[in-house]
Amino acid sequence: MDPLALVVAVSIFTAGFTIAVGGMMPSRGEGEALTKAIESITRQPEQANNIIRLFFIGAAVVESVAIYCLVIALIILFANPFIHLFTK
Amino acid sequence: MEIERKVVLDSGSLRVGGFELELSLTDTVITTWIAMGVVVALSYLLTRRLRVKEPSYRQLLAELLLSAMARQIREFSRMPVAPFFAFIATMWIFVGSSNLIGMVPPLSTPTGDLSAVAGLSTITFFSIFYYGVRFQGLSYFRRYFEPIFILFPLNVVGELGRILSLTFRLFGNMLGWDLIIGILVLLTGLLVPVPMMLFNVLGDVIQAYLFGILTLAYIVAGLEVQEVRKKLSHLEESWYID
Repeated sequence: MDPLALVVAVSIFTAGFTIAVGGMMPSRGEGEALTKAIESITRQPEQANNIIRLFFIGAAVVESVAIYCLVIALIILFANPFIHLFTK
Repeated sequence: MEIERKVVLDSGSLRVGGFELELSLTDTVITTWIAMGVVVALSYLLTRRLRVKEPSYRQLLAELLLSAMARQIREFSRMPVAPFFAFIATMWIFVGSSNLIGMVPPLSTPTGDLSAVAGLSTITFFSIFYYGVRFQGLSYFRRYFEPIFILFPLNVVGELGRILSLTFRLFGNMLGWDLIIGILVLLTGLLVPVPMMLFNVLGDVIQAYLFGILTLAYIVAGLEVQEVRKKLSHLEESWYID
């Protein structure tokens, strides 16, 4: 196999795999957090503002992992650092 | 579709010591100027002819925005807002307008550029120490040696990691949304991406809110709230409580 084709194939596969795993796990975590937030709001509606704000901040912190995966996948796809080793 | 920014004006590079400074003007700068111009024009228009009795609708809008932001800061930090209000509200307004200006067709989102967002989080990084030293003096740095001084490198890495995640959150979200909409425009017709663009407006506002509130969270996390509240107890603030 031509090395360029190999690098391209592995890059595409890795980018897809990165975003698949990196999207699945944080969204599960975020879903659990959302479930808990809704439960707590139904239990204590007077604390709804606090809970929503804490949920947004927590969700953003959890989501940053997914964003790392997105950035890595974008780097692999659009700014691959190894592809110039094989193109002239 | 590209991650690299368009260069509008290229005036070569400058060599200072071992570093090479690129003296080029990217479209990020132009777009940010436009966003700043819009904000300045809006604030000028909203603050003409202010009256205590019979306020106009524009004045009510400006007051609503400012007091809502002040209440958010108050509820989050549980301290008087005066020392933080100008900084955090500026962050909100600036990041929000930069996020939203990307919706105007020929412009691209300035916060989808890593350099722009890195600049913003650098401001956050130094403001943490500014507020810490301002309220607690040099003893603020003691928290890097807690619980035991051997953990100093770990604490420093943790601090840098927070700033890095702040940068990548805003940058990744903006770039990701732009790419999603770009791909949808490429693949489908004219009207299909419109719901995604509406989601994008929501996402832009939420990301701007998060950038400001996380900046505030990083600042407040290092402060001892009781002490600061005692120091600021002479401030009497009632303008934002409805």
